[in-house]
Amino acid sequence: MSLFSGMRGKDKTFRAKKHIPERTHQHRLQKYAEVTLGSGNLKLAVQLPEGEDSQEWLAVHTYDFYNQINMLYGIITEYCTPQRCPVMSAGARVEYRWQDNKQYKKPTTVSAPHYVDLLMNWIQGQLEDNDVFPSQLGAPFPKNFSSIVKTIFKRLFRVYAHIYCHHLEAIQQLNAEPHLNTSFKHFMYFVYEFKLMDKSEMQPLAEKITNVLGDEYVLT
Amino acid sequence: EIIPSVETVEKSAAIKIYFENYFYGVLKKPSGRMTRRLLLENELEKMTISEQDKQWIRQELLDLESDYMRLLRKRVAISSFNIV
Ligand SMILES: [Zn+2]
Repeated sequence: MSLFSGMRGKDKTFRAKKHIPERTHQHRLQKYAEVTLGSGNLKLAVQLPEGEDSQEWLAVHTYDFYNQINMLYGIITEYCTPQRCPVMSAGARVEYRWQDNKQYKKPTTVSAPHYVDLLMNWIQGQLEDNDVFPSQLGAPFPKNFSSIVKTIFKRLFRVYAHIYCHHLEAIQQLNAEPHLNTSFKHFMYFVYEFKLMDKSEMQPLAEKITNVLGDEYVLT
Repeated sequence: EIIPSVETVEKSAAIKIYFENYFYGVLKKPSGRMTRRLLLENELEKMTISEQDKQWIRQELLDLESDYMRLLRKRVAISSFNIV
């Protein structure tokens, strides 16, 4: 079994008997809701290093963010079920429908876990495709590389949006909010630095973006 | 409200450690890349070669950094990642 698909696995065998976390504990944690990991400068960390190839930089980060989101979603698979999340949404007004060139020729409503599964499998397919993400030293990137990367980022954003809008309590319950915030902050700085998404696509998390990145990041 | 299963609690603990390590690496100052560059500059300073040759050696390091990122992607290729 692959580690990452295992992270998203749905096999739950038994439940903890103890009530964790306790109410007071959780209350205390909420005070640190916007806390992130470390105090370093993520905005600087995403910048292309001097002399580096920008496609190589995009490629390695695409891998990293795919892994990060796979793991973050893996934390809440138990909470994100077809019963609880029958549609892939980001809040009450935004619904994402799945479309690919294979099984789903038209935009189709599917449950959130199914959507995330389709989405992550599609990205994994891109990452493992040597014509898109060359792994041989010296092999070139394809001409349409940047448009593929943009599609990947647009889709990864939807998983953050679903987690923030529908599973934040679970993330808080597991004390993983700083990890989620730091990952999202890193992701969004990268998106801004390399202009990977349209503002319209960011709308579902407009408030969160300002919260996490700072007041200069206001979507209009 | 859901009480998380033991599996979820353990999985989230492991994942949180991954993130803490990952961002420690991302935010570390000076970065690994910067450290390597400074080491090289120290070496270059001691060498009695032309500025053009030094520039060529600097470019070699940049190429190695690019190759390293590509190998990083290869090594973490998802399908080759197995639970023991
Ligand atoms: Zn869900």
